[in-house]
Amino acid sequence: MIKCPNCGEILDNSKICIKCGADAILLGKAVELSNKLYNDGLRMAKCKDMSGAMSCLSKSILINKRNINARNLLGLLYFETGRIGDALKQWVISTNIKETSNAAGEYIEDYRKNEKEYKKLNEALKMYNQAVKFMQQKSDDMAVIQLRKAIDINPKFVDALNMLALCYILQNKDSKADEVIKSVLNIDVKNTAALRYYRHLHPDKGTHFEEAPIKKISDREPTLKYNSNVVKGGAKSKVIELAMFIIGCVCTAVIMYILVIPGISEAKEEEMKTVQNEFEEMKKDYDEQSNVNADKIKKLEEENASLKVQNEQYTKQANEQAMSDKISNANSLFSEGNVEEAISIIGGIDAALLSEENKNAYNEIKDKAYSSRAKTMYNEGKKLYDRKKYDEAKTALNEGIVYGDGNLQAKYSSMYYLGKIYMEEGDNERAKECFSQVKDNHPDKSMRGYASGWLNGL
Amino acid sequence: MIDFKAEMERFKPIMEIDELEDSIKTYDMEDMIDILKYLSEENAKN
Repeated sequence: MIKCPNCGEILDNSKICIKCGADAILLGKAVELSNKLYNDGLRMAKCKDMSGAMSCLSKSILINKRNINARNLLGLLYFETGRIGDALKQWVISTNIKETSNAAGEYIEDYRKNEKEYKKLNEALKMYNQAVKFMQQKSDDMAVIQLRKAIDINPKFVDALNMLALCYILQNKDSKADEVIKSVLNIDVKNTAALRYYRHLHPDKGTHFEEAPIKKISDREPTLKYNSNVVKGGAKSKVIELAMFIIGCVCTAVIMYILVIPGISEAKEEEMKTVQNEFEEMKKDYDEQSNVNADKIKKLEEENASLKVQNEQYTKQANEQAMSDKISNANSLFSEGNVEEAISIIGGIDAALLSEENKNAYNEIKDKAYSSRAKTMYNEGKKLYDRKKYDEAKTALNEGIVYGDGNLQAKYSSMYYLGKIYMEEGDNERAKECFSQVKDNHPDKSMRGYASGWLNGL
Repeated sequence: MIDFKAEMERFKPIMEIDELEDSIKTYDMEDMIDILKYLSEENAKN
């Protein structure tokens, strides 16, 4: 009983499927060929012939894309040789073809769990790609730097190792190239590029490479895990493994105690010292900066005080100049005979703010103007008195008294006639006050006598 | 003697994880079985 490899329909004697119309014999042969290539690939992978295995497995899935064993193994080999992106691609396609009971699902799950580590491996890929660009630009020095970094991250990255070997050959660093080539051949025993480089470096040895003992990939494939270093055995080997693990732990603890922990303590102490020194330096800087700032503030305060004094001086000078101008103006007006306006200006001057020099000039013009005004007002008042216009006469005579401090003649003469007006009006008390002052202060003896006479009459 | 130019041509950029999605989207899932099925269907029609 034959099943159609395409749809699973049971075929009778016909080689053509009644349901899907496929040539079952031909399809069967194709599936068989794909499986054979997978088996070849698996055998080669177990012998660490990665290149040969990858070639067989690629052909296998080219014939039958649904051969998930071939696809999963191809992914593992890509992973083993550093091609993480290609590995994931095969596993993703594999899980799309068969979602359940598929090892690729576990590999993808592992990727999800250890994404950080995979990203690191991906960094190695980026560095390799960058190195390819550098090499195309003939910057082999730069390429070597990138490749070494990539290999530090993933020492099994075959393409990076091969390119590094080529760089070293170009730079005539044969011993380094030889070392790298041997690393490649330990991972992939029949890597064609590595063998070519090996032959270039060892032309006497022909194609023979002294291989390290081959570590076989586990026989568990197709459910083979990509971590091929894990070799599982029976219960006895598990006990040995456990014992070895415990011994390993103890040794590690001893080494940590003897070597690493004192080193860490010393490093910590060193770090603390460094931090303390840094702190002290920062404090010193801060103190210095504070002192500088204090000095700056003091200097600025001094400057400010000095500017204030200057400002006061300037203000004072400006005021004095203004006062001097006013006095000068008052003098000019007085000279022109405009006594009233000169007095108005003199009245607007604050004598307390004047300098000594201005004060003298001020007093001089004030005396002259006020004396002149007192005399004028006295004359005016006397005329009005003679015309018996007592109210107007009183106003003029009072002004003569106010301005008469520098002209006692005008002042007390005004007071005399003011007394006479009060007497005429019957205000004897005020008249007495006026005559009394005239009697005591008038510079003219005859006027003092007249005032005395009137006082006696009242 | 190693031909550097020829050797360099063998080294191609490798797909990074970031390019994975695009790579799978554009992946043409055709294999030999697809071709054989197509040929069988064509033969059946004729």
